Amino acid sequence: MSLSDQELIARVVNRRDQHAFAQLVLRYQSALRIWARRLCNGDTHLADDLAQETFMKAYAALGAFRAEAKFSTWLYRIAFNIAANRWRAKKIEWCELDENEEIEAEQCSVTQFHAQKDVEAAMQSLSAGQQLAIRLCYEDGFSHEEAASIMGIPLGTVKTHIARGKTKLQSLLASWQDALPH
Amino acid sequence: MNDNDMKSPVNADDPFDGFLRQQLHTDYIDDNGFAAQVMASLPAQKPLKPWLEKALIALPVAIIAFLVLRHLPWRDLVQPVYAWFLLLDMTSLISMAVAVFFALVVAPVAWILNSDS
Repeated sequence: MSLSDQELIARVVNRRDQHAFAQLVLRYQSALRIWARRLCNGDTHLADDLAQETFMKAYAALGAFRAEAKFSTWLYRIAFNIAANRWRAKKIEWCELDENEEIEAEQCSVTQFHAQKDVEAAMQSLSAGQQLAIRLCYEDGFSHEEAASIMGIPLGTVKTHIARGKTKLQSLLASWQDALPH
Repeated sequence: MNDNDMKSPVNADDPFDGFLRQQLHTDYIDDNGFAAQVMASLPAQKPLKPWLEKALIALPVAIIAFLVLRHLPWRDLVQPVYAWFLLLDMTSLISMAVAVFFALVVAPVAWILNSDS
């Protein structure tokens, strides 16, 4: 039986149980690395470095974690702060890496692949804030409030980002929208 | 803040929301040693000093033992033992002295020597 996040966190805080923390890392490594890749614009090495630093900071500050928020929200927030600091220090280079393009093309059906490519291309035309807000809510399933907490911006701004981003995506992806069931 | 703020804004009935969610899905990233790398980079746990570790065990044991022993009826326990001791003959007394000597001196010394080796 796997322990809940809260139980694992309690073990880490009370007993400095590194095995419990390893379970948390295994549980969230994929989601956090995906989030880090978005923050690093696809650079997998920078993203893994960012994710690792996030886990290290989380371990050091776990005693300050309050169960009012989800653990994932808290982790995403730490990663976002580290990335924001790196942007300010210009340590993160924005680059266009798409190493897995060919593999993805083989794995997906042609239609699915083209739809995904079009959505990704349309996403690139949105502002960074709109992209992150939409990905947090549509890809990771966070609420408006959680997305606002992660990005450190007001709730209203997140709603505006999503509404405007979605409107723009709808117009850019109009050809796909026509094919959707009504 | 209303209840909608706490829920995912994705509308299950909206075909475009469903389409967007499906297309934005990213595959799971395998661990491939990442977790081990994170764990290796964490600060090493500082082990407690041996004397502190022993003190942490010994102190509560001593306090509990003291509290228990304080409530024992010592007079009632000691009197019959003392009376029995006065009635012992010399042979029994010597055997008992040897047993006590062994229990108090030889056994601890043997244990210490054994643990040192």
